[in-house]
This record gives sequence, C-alpha cells and structure tokens, in this order.
Amino acid sequence: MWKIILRRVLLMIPELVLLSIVIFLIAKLMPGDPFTGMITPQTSPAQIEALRVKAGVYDPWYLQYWHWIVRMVHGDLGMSYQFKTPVGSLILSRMGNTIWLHLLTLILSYSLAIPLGLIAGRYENSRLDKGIMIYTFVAYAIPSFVFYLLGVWLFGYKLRWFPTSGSVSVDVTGTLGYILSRLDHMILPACLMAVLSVTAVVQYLRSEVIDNKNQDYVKTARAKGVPEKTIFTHHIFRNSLLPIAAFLGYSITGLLGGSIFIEQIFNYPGMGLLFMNSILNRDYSVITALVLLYGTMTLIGSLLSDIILSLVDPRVRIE
Amino acid sequence: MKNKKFLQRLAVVTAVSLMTVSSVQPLTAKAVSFPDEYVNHKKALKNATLRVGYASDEPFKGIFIDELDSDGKTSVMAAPGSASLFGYDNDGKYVAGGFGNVKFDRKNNTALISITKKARWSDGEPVTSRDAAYAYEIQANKDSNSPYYNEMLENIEGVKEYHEGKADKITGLEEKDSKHLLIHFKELTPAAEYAGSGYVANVAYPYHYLKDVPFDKLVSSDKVRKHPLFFGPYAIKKIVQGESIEWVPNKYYGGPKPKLAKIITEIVPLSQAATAMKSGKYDVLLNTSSATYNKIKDDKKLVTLGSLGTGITYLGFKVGHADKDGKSVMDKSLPISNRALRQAMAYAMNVEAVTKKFGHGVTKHANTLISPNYGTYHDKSVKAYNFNLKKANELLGKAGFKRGKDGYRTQPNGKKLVLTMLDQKGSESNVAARANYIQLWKKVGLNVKLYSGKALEYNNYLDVLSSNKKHNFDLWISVWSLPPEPTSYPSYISAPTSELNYGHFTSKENDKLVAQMNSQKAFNTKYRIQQMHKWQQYMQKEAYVVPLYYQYDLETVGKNVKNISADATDVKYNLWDQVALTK
Repeated sequence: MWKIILRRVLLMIPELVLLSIVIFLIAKLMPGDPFTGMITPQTSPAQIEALRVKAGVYDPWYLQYWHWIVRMVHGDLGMSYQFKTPVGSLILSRMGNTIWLHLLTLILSYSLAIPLGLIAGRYENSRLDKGIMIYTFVAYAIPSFVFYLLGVWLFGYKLRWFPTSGSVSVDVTGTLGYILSRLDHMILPACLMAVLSVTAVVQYLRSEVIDNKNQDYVKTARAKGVPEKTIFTHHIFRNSLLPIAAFLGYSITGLLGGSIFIEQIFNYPGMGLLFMNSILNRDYSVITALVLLYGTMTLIGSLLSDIILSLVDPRVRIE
Repeated sequence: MKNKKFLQRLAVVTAVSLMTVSSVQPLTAKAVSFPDEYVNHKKALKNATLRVGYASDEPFKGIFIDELDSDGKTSVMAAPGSASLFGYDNDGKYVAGGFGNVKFDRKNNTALISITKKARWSDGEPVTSRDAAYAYEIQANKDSNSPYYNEMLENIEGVKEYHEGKADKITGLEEKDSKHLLIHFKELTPAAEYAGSGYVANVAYPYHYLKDVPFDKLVSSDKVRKHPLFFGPYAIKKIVQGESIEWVPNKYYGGPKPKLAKIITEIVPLSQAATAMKSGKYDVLLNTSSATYNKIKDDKKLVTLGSLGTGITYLGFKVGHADKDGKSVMDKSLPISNRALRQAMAYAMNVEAVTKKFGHGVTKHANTLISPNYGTYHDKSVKAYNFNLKKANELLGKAGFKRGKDGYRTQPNGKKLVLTMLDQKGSESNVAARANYIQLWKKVGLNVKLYSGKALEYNNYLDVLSSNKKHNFDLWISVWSLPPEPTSYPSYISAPTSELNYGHFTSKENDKLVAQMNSQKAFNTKYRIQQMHKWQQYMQKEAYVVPLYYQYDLETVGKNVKNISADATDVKYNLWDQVALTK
C-alpha cells in the first residue's frame, strides 16, 4: 500500500503544475490588475505605472509564472498586493481561524448527523424517521445566509448567549481568557453551520442502514437468534458507516475551504472571504497560492478517503 | 494619519441607491436633514468604555501609515489616536492652533513647519521636525512603494533625486532645529494653504521608533501594523488584525485629558449594523449606510448625525478621446458634443425625487460639482438641472433633434441617434436607477442603449472608462471621492492632460479658469472663491459633467454619548478627547 501512496503523491506533482498554469493563465486573463482604480487626484499615473512595472504586471505570463515558481520553491509565496503582507503569513493567519471553526463544525455536524441517520434508518417510515427527513429537507432547502442571520438575531441579540462577530474579543486577558474567548466566538457560527450541513450524511446513512437491513448477513444473524439491538449495533451500523468514512477524507481537507456567508455575517476573517476578495481585487499572488493549496488539499483528500476506506473495510485494498 | 480624507481614494463606482422602478411614475418624498452634532447635557461617567462599530463586510487592513496604503476603514477606526498636525477652517485653509503650525513664505517659496511642545508620541517622546520630515521620506522613498508619490511631492526641491536614488536626503527639507522644519518648494500656489493639496503633509511619523525598519519592510512591519505610536488622545493597547482595536488614553497627550477609560473600535458586518445599534451593543456606528439609517431612524435611543461629504455622484459625457500624447481632444462631430443634447438629458432625469424616495433621503440634489462641504467655495447660486421634460423636449427640438416615426429623435443631419451608456454592475438599486433614467430619456425621444448590452464588472468597466479609444460610449454615471482642497476637481479631473478626464472635454475657458484659481493673484481668497464660482457656473452651463447628488456621511450615536460630532471622523480638529459617556 505504501508504494501506491507514494506513487499517488508523486503523480500529484504534474497535476498541481498543470493546475497552477491553468489558474495563473485564467487569473491573468481577467480584466484589470491589482493597480486598477488606483489613479486618483492624490496619485500620479506615472507612479502607479512604475509600481505596475516593478510588480511585473507587463511581463509575459510564462515569465511571471517562472518567477513565481522560483520564489515558491524558495518558500516565498510573494506579497499580497491588497494586504501588503507576505502571502504565506496572511494565509496562515486566516487558516488558523478557518480550521478551528470548521473542525468544530465537523465534530458537531457528525455528532448530530450520525445518530440521526442511524435512527432514521432503523425506524424507517416511523414518525421519528419522517421528522428527521423533514428536518434534513428543510436544512437543505433553507438559504444559509437567512438561517445564519436568524441565528445571530435570536442567539446573539435577543438571548445574548453568544458574541455576534469577530474571532476573539480584543479586551480579553491571559492565555486561558484568549482560548475561551476564541471558543465562545466559534460556538454560534459552528452550531449554525453544523445544523445546516447534516443532510448528506443523514440521507446516506439512512439508506445504507435500510439497504443493510435486508442483507443476507443480517438475515443469518437473525436466524441465529442474535438480539435485534446487537444486529444493529454490531453489524448494520458498522457496515453502514463505511461510505461515511470515505467522506471524511474530503471533509478534513475541506476544513480549509472556509465559508463566505458565515465569514461575512460574523465578520470572521477566514479563507472564504480572503479568496473571494483576492479575486475581486486581482490579488494574483494570493489567488494562485490559495488555488494551489486547495488543489493540493483536494488531491490529498481523495487519497485520504481511499486510505481510510481501506483501513475500515478490509475488502477494499488500494491497488 | 488624520489626513485619511486627504488621501481618500478615488472611488469610481456607480452608487445610486434606489429600488426597482418598473415604470416612470410620480415620485415624492420628504427631504431629510441631519444634525452634525448631538448635545447631551448629562454628567459624564468616569471610567467608561465606549464601543464603536464600523459597518463593513470586509476586515480592515491595519496599515497605520496612510502614505503606504490606505483602505479608509483603518484610518477612520484609528481616529481616536490620530490627530491633525495642523488646524484648518471650514474652507480647509490652515489656521494656527494645532499641534503644529505652518507658515508660507511666497517670496522664497518656503513653508515653515513649527511643532509645539505639547505634541508628544504615546511612548513619551516629543514630536520633532525629523518626524515631520520622515513623513515626506516615507512617501518619496522608492523602496516604500507608496502609491501616493506624485508630481505635487516633486514640487519640493530634491524629492525627485531622492526618489530616483540619486540623493540620500531630500535637499528641500531643512531641519532648522528639533521643532522647526523649513520646506523649500520650486513653486507655491494658493492651493498650498489648504489641507489635502499635497503641498504639506498634515502628519508626522515617529522616526525614533521606525528608523531601524527599512523602507521596504515598513508596510509589513509590526511597528506599523501591530504597535503603532500616535500623538492623539488615545493609544492602541491591543489589535485583533482586521477585526478590532482597543484604545486607552494616551498619557502623554498634549490636549485636554481624554474622558473615557477605554474605546473599542470594531468592524460590524453590514447585515448586523442596525440590530447591533438597536440592541445597544455599540454606542457609535461609523459608516452608517442609507439602508441601516432607514432601519434605525425611528429608534428613540439613537441619533443619526451627518455631514455632506466632498464627493459627488455625476453623469459624465464622453465628448472626445486622448491623442497619442495622452492629451484630451474633443470630437466636435459627435452628437453628444451638442450642448443642448447634454442639457436635455440632464433635465430629463428626475434625480431629486428618485434619490429622496429610494435613497432614504440621505442624499442632496447637487447644483454644482463642488460640494457644500467646501464652505464658501461652493456656489449656492448655481441652479441645478431640475426635472423638466418640457424643457428637455424644447432644447432638443430647437437643436434640430427631430422625432422620427418610431418616436425616437434623429441627429440634426437626419442620421439615426443611438446613445451608449457605460454602466457598472452593482446592486438591484443601481439597475433600477439606470432603468428609470433610460425610460425618462426615452420619454423625450432619446434612444439610450447599454455598452455591451449589460452592466460591466468593476475592472472591466474601469478598463473601458479609462481607455483612450475614440467614441466607444457616450455617457456614464459614477462617483468622485475628492480631497478637501477645493480646486482638486478642476485641477485634477478637468485638466486636458489628466488621465482622470474620462470624458476628454477640454476648452480654453476651462483652462483659463483653472489657471486663474491657482494663480498668484488667487492668494487673495476672495478672488480665488470668485474664480471657483465662475468655474462652477461655466461647468453647469456646458454640462460636460452633470452633478447629480452629494452624499451624506452618516454616523449613528446612542443618546448616552456626549460631545460627539459628525466632524469627529472628518477633517476638522480632532474631537475624540472630548467624547464621553453618560447614563
């Protein structure tokens, strides 16, 4: 298996190079550049032009790409035109916020979705099952920003249970205070996201449980007199969780994606807003770094999913 | 850093806040006026914390030197710590009484900056002439990559050589002693006496603190972004990058003792701004949008303060192009070069009613290109283009634009007349505004189509707007954000060689008036104001650029706030040392 993993990792390199070229080209094809709109009564067109030349905006794309690659190999992702700060540290600061928020969301989401999916599958067509199904449909259909705004209004302003914006209070003191404040700021957005993101897992799990209920091994167990509860906990649930485990790889790498809506509504500086604003402001160095990061994470996610699946299901082998 | 407004970016965005209007309909609404200060006679609380929200959906950049980069939000959020180096009056003219004073010597083309003893940095060090000179060096040094290095700065002797790396020092900056800086200019014009003209920087930066940071590292250094020094009433205790700033009194502040124990300024998402104010989460909301104002205007606990900004929303006409040297050349053969057509289009727009009805009353119908914010430089006698379809029809008829069988007018030479409008993608309200204007133009027989058949994305829009191509569109609606120096519009935007002269209009009369308002004779303020008034009358008559409306800068405050003024975030004296909280 290790050989296969190594081969898959090596194969990623040409894939990422190709991806980065495509992204670089598309970014350059967009109208405008980071200096668009900077000519004002207070600025000189000559100075803005000089800054453009200095930034290499007029160099042919392959030259710009080459410079970028060379710098990247040396660990320098360039400077963000928009934030005037090294891209690496900018992404790292946002990444921290996003990872913690999405990790909490992931934990809450799976903690909610797995029991719901299993219950719905086990008690198929019962009132409980129907209730769960209605919840998943509503969660899937409701526009997320409406739900988030409602959540902020209710839990943030009416009940005043949670802070309504930012990632941490500016006036907290001490490390413990800082950690608690970070957590406090994450709970509401994470809960709201988790409540909305259960649909796929619940539905998959429910149909897996229903499918498994009629499998031969279940019939055999029943024929052997295994108690119903044990059949579910030891046989059906275990097998039904396999496809969910496969999801997990993508979910882990998806932690970095960020969510534009949640970040905007909560003024939570994360990767989603950074990516969107970089595109709007033609912040090439950030766009390319982020796309490459996302591309890498997607490829790793796919590999992780395969590995997890092979670990939890002995029938599946990576070959 | 208080001079944020001086360095305000030019925002070329369509900004008409309106709702969808599916048909031309009578629109009526009451005009709204805003107080610029709130008077609270209650006793100030001791050890109070003031919470200030800045409504925005984006984090602030946190670069506390505007000359390196300015995102507007950072400068406004930094107001409790910022202080103007010099004081100035309602017209923007420097007056004595600030932390520093500036005296111009026309004979020798110099300006003497004197810094008072009361000016001290938040680390206790005095503000010196070196700090004032350092502000010019930051802007001029090639390695700092300041977008604000410009021709005005080159007016100081030796700046160009310093920028090009030929000199280690700016020869035109003579530090007489630790408190006096003499600046040698190549030429002085009346604009020099006004804040935001670019002649003298209204700021200083702590050289003793920043001298070890190379110019190319300044913008990303912690000393600028995380632990900046100020000489205003408050100093930064802590920053959460992009989110919030905690301020405590600057114990070395030279003005009256600050009244608050703490100020917290933070970004509040636009979607939450109204609810946050209603719930009392913030005492002050900066950057209140018209939509937020509409939601909170009836709340008895809140007051919305406003002052008209220097900016203007306008309708521009492209009457020419730039030649190979970048100089504007008029295309007299274009239909839009006909003054009667431009005036008729202006008369056919129901700007006042539309903006009042749908913009929640936070705009004022503009009568000239110079906002009332410029004090006496604004000519209130100029008549606005008030909605008048009859007059529009008359003007078009007299100028030979006859109606055809299809209801649309033809050119005086009998050719079909189709006008192209360049439009920027924006909110639903922008779409509605444009639709309303096009329908009204249709009513007077003018066929106006959109460039590319649709509104363009910002970068694309700006590419087309600033292109030097001949006749690719006829008109556009946009916004100018302007510095407080009153002649900035005529000097920078209507000049024949200016890249900002998107319409490429040029005339001898315009050039003459612009030259006169900054001539040596114009050191006589009365004469200068007279020339400015003449220019406004001329521009209004020619209608190359039609002023549509001025926008109010709004700030909402709770009634528990004392000594607050809309000027606190404006270019006037710093007032944050007076702000207090009451029960």
